[in-house]
Amino acid sequence: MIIVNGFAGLTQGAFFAIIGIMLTLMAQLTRVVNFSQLAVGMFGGFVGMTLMMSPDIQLNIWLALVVSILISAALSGIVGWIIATWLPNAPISNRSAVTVAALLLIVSTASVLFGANHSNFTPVVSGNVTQFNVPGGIVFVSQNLVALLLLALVILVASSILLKRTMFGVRLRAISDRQSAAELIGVNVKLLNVGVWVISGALISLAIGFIPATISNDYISFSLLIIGGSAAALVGAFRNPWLALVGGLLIGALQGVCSAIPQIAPYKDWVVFILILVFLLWNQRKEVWDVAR
Amino acid sequence: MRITKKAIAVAGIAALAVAGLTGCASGGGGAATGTPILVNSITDTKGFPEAAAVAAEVFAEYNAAGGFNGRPIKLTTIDAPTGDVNAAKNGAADSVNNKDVVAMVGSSTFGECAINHSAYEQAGMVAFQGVGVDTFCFTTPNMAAANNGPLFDIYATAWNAIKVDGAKAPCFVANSGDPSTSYGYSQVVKLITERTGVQWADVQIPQQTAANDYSGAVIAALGHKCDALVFGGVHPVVAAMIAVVASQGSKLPVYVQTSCYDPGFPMDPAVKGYAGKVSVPAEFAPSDDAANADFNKLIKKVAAAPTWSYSFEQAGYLAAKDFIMTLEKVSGDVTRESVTKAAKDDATWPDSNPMRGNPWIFGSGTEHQANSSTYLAEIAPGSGVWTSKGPWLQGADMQWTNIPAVPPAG
Repeated sequence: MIIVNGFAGLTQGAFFAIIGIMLTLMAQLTRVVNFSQLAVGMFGGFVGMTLMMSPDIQLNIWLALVVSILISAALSGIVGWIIATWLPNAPISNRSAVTVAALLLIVSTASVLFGANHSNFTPVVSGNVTQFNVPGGIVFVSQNLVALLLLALVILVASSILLKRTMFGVRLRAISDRQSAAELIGVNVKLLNVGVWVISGALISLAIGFIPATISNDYISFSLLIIGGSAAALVGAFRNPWLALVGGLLIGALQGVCSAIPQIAPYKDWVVFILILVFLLWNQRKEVWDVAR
Repeated sequence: MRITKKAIAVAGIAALAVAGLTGCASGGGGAATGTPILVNSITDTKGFPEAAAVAAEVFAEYNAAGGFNGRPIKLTTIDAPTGDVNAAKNGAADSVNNKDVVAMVGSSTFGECAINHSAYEQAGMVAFQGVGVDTFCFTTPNMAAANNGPLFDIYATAWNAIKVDGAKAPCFVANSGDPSTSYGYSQVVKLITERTGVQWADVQIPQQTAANDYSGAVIAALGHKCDALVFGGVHPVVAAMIAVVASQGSKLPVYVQTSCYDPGFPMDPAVKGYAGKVSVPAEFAPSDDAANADFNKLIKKVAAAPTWSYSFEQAGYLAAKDFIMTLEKVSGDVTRESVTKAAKDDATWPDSNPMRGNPWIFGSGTEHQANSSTYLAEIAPGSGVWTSKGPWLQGADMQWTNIPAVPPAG
């Protein structure tokens, strides 16, 4: 049973991984921990779902996904534009605080607009790819898990090539590392910043299109999956997106395992907290007292 | 600029005055114009907006037809989001401290009954709950809810699985948001076994978590070779549970609570794609029943969102009707005391509105499982719609006995 539950947790883990990867890339490129990332995707998802479920419109699922992506990208772009316009040189904590405000605003607005009795997001893929027997049960490999893992790998490989092998990537890194210098040599910092936000919103919305219907999309709990994603990003120290992938999968699997053990099942959400704590202690292990303090 | 502002202000005041006059004019011709009878509702206007809004429309219609001896009923809705204890407490304090507020009508917010029932008892005020959510709405002397509540509901759900459909090894998975509900669920599980002789293959009552993800509990239950699944929870949570069942290659019959009986539930992707049957004991007459004719006409006037729950709207309608019935039995001045007296007088009741399957009684009881009947409906695999099946199941037929909100002392 532990293996079955652990494997079932991998799907949510793959979603955590994508959030973690996006958080890492955003932190590197725009100097922000984007707490609103999932909320913008959630909002776009609800718009798409509303159009799809409306008896008058009944939008095709793929078109609904496109609408969701466009809405999320635009919403994310607006948050990014606000930060790029009014807080271009502010510390990362201040910039990140804006995203917390955006998170709360989006959750409240969604709750007012879409009400309490809503459907969970319709995944664009469903069903199982394969299944195999393990001690204590049968493990099912869902299409959602495969799709989310593939998307995570595509984002990782594409961003790696883009940032390291292209002039555009150099410019992107420049606006993060040496913003003033980049501006002086004629790079349009604001445009690139907002562009990163737009793409981030679009990608998270795409990922939401692949999450299974097993994930309830209650506004607050869904938006707060960002915490699991943040823990995944922390495994890679917000610098290494590949480790964020590992971290996300690890968190998902561990939470799944915990839920199979009745004595610790109620505390499975603590896995994220413990992982963050362990990482912070590990990160501080070589600091002398004054620095650590 | 100052002139412009002044002009806008004057225009605004003029517009308001015109609107006010128009309002007065439209209220003429038999409409109630006397001193308003004040009632309040404490409602989570985001989570459960339906009942208070529909109750207000019932009163608007009643007032337009002359009100109570020419006096209109005025419902004020106080917003108390789920989890905001202070808002719920302050709402009750404001209501209790205003002697002109004669009763609470149509309140619907999680935890409000647990938080405020004592305040109402001390103030001698009665509450006609719209959507009673926590167990105190059904187990205290001054509250009676239009709906049948989580404990009766999950009991009827389990009864449906075992006694109606003949499950021999059912599994129970219900998330609980508070200790009182956990206690209630554990009692339901025990009582069902005592009364049906059927042992549960597995029982999972996970505490509500921030992530609202109960996949682990569902997978653990499936590991116990159940022949039916009894799920407790609201629409999005239960739909996610059904998706977990499907992801594990199962198509066992699933039994859900009335909180899932809304038109959107069968359309939910997880539910629509489920290969097994989904069944519910609905707490009111199903939407296609003629008993809803007047209600269906009324709700067309309410500015409802497409996501509003039909049964929560029914609850608001019935709470308002129950209050009007009480009011019409008041002799002498309409005061909080006289309304409470009429509500608690057994001679006032029953309200036999056919939207409920049993005569509804507030009366002198110290606890009120006033709505104690359910109407069976089900979703055939892939159909995307609820199909009314019936018949009405009565609490007495299911050997229902009230379950206290907290464990008895000792």
